Amino acid sequence: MSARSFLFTAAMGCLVVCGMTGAAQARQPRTAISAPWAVGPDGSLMKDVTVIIVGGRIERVIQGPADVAVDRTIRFESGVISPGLIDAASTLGVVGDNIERKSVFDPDASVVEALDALSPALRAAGQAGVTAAMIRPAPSGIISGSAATVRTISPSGAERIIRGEGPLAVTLGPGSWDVDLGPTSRAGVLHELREAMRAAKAEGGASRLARMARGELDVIVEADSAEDVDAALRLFGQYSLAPVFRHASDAVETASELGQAKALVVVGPYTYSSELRLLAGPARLVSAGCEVAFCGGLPFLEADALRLSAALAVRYGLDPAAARRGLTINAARAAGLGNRVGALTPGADADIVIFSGDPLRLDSRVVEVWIAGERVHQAPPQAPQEADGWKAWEE
Amino acid sequence: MIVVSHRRRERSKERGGATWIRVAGLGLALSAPAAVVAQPTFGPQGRATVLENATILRPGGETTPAAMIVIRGESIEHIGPAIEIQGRATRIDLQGAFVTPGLIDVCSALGMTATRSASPVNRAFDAFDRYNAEMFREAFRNGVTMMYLPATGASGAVGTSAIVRLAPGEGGGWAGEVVRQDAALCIDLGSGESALRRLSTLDALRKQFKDAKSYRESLETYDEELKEYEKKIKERAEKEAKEKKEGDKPAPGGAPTQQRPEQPAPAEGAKPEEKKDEITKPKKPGTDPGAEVLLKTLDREMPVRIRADRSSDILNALDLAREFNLDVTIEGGSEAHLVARQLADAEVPVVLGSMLGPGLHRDDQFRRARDDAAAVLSAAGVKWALGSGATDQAAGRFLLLNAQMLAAHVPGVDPLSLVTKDAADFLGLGDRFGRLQPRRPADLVVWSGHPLEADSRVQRVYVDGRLVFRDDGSTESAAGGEEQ
Repeated sequence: MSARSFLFTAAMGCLVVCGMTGAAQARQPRTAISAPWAVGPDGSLMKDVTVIIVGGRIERVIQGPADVAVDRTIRFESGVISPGLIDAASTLGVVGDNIERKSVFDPDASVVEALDALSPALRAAGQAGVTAAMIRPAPSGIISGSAATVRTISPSGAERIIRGEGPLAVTLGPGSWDVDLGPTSRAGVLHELREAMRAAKAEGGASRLARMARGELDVIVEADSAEDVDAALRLFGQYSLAPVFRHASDAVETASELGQAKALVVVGPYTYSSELRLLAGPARLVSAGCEVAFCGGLPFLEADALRLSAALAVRYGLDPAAARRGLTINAARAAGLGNRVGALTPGADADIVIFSGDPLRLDSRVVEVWIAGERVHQAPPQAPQEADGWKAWEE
Repeated sequence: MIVVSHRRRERSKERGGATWIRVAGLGLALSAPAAVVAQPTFGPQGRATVLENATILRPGGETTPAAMIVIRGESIEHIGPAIEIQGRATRIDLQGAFVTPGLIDVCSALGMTATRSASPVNRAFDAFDRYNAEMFREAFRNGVTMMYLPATGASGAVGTSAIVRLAPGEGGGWAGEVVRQDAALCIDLGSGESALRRLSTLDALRKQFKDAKSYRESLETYDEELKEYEKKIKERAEKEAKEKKEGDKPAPGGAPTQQRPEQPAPAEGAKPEEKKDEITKPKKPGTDPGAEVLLKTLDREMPVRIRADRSSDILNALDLAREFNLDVTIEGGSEAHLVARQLADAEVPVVLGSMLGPGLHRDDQFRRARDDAAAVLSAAGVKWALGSGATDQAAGRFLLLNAQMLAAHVPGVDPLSLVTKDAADFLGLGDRFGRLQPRRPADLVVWSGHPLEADSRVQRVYVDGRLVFRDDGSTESAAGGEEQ
């Protein structure tokens, strides 16, 4: 106590002696980043926004003229401030086979242990505006372990692993059928899963299965077919769990059921080759009442493929604001980190990307990337685009 | 100059207007200055489509608001400020919409099935699925109206490419219109294959070109020999005629006409013909259609597109071009930026493809691909163009998105210019396509908003003046002369 008082007195003394510089050193510096546009928490574009950052977190988000005393102001004359993009299901930085194939129930496996933090793919994704990614175990077996969420770039002081445990990855459908290890049918898988959860709940304790059965550990379900989506909704509903769905190419068939459950569905990756039916899926899910989050097929595709997935969904009818949510806050929610990253809201980590334009426009480029309030990437300046004076029509 | 002769044309169904209208377009008098078209100079039966209040997007980003586009027959008759239209017209209000030229892909696989054989006589157009209505529709939904289709699917000299315009066929079906057949000879150096196979591909190509040269030599030799033969025949005939004449004059022994003068007056002149000098007719070499195609490239009558991704393959392609004096363009070019200087020195352009593909793992022939490769090429002075790529059949739909992806990494690039006027110029079709101008074919796209915005959609596509695609309506009415 006395030591603290001493420090305080010393600091005050410094303030007197050194003026404002001393004050800045005594408390954490405040940074203001402002730009003509920003992606709001609801995914819409807000005009004229200033984000105040203190201690690696967002302190305030001010719309309109900002008159706040700060230590550093960074003003972008053009561009959009966006929360860092998050890939909602990737294997970024994960080397090799990330699943143990000895049992169809492997809740204690953790994909984060397969992470190669030095993988150049992580940094490349970060420089493309993807600041975090949920990495997940391969969809095989009934429970294939715990997913995790990692930062693609982590300056000193910022954690590389934002969440090391959760959600638990459950696979229904043919991916979980195994002749040697377990059930070989849809009914068999559901039976075993139901039994395992019932037993874990009865047993209690701190095992992942027990926590999942108590509704304390979230779950992400890989379900390819409509009947598996339906079964998962009923099964997990009994445990008051709202699973996040992934790889649900048939989810559109059960859009109304998913919509009633206000489910969060991880969609994508969509590429130039994707079928029409899939491309139109996100629009149908959202109009039925679901929310969607995107995965971009990283690292097998370019980092820009995450934004491409969203752009293609928009081209086939998805509301742009829903698509921006899918790249940011919804992906964070899928990873169980909705109050930590993915939105420009007070208290959230200051993981921010400044794009030259709407992130949904593929010709928008990354201008700067900030992680935990620190600038980690700055694109080389580009000459302003000049019209070439070509006349489109002649009289 | 485009002239529509008395051809009956079936026009697409327009809401609010007459359904199937046959237009016997007279020769369109297209020289009338557009701004003064108060009194149209066409036949009264030439029904016009008038797009009103359109925002015309100029490549480079400038816009011209509240413009009017008049389409008559297959051409743009007027584009610019609103004018008075006489005669029958279908008026369409495009308030809030943008109009661009139809998008042009300098390298696409849309609707293609890969050929598995390599032969210069293969034609890419033969592998084009001309009646795939869904493919046409999805291309239009994304604004694409024309594309260059390479022959793909094997290494070596694969075949010849075609430039195809997605035009409706007669009778309401689809057929695609070949704008240029045999646009280029497509060579694939097989960058994805093993080093040994790539070397043998190159060897085989050298041999093919050399064989084509010897084929030509044998043809030339034949021509010379034939000339020689004809000359000899003629000479002999002349000689015979002369000797006959001379022989007739003195007629010492009343020689018979059959007797050859050069023959020493044979006593037994039974078969004089057998004893004359043998003049054999040269044998004509067999035709080689493959070599004929290669000869066109050797004469630089047909350009050559060489698909090569690895820098070593690109350098090999440049060697091949030098050795045989070929008019070469590199296609693919994942490592073109590594040999930009050599490409610039050889003045060889590059056609870049899909911005998707290598991923962040980057192995095989794409491992050194760079998103900003085009900027490196530009800086070195290499001419380049962007297509959707020759491998992914479905990627052709998303040409503009691909251009936007490139533009994010290359300063000063206008994605829309890339896939309209630049593409048309690159294909040598800039005088007809890629720009919205009077007297040009009316290939144009109506977008619900700025085409580069994520949520803009294609509302209408006109090809050759005909409405070929339409998504959700805008107000329109048939007016002006409907009563006639």
